[in-house]
Amino acid sequence: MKHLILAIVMAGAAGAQDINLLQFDTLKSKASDSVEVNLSEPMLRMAIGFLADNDPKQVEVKKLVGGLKGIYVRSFKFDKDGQYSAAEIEALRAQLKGAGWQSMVDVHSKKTGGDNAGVYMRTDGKQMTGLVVLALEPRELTVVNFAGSIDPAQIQALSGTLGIPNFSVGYEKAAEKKSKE
Amino acid sequence: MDAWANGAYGGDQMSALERELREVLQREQPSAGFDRRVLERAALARRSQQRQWKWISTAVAACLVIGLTSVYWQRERQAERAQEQLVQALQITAQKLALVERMATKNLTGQEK
Repeated sequence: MKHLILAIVMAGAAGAQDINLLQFDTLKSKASDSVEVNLSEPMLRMAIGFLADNDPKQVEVKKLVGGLKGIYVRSFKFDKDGQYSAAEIEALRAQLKGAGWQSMVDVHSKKTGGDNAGVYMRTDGKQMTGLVVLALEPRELTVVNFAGSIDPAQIQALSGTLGIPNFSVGYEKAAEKKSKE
Repeated sequence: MDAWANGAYGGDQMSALERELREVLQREQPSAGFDRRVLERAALARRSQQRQWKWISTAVAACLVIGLTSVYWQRERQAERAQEQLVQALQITAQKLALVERMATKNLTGQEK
């Protein structure tokens, strides 16, 4: 009975989540620093409830969050290399090969400590309904999942404010360049 | 002859009892200021009841205010926490998107050695 209740609670918690991030829970004990963000739709509504309508940046945040159903982040920093396994990453990538998902950027290096990253999106044919950012470094692993309607350019619009660094989303240009080559 | 009148049935005793009863049940005039005292005591009782109700309603109102304030405060704390988490999530996302962009550009330009 206890297991059934636990399963129902976990299913409810993971309801809006696009992908299952439970496999990363074991990394928390190995990490020297970890960040876990679980923002369901009601929490997101609550978060933007106190934002001002007369501040353009805060209005941007409202717009960005307006179409979202949840934001889930797992980020771990380790004191030494090799604390996460390739199997954990492959399990995640396998989920992102499922229906509706497609890779926008996939950086794959076979070298030890080489670059490994990816940006994946899910569409319903008309608009983006999910986004996953995966960034792997020798001593750092980060997975971000935005469930719902999102455009990375909206995040870029917030750069330089709220402590968000300046950056540009140049994937499309990069992909164009690659196709020309 | 009437037996009652002659005391054949204890007529003297009955008269004594009757006399006593009459004395006891005799209508007495209230002392001076009795009505004022009654009215004062009634007013006092009414005031004490009113004070009691005032206390009860004040206590209920205070409980309501404390309850509502604590709910509002809790919701505000939750909203603040959610806002912090949202900003943190956006910061991490932006940092990682920038990192992925750098990695992708490096790979595309063939700078990785």
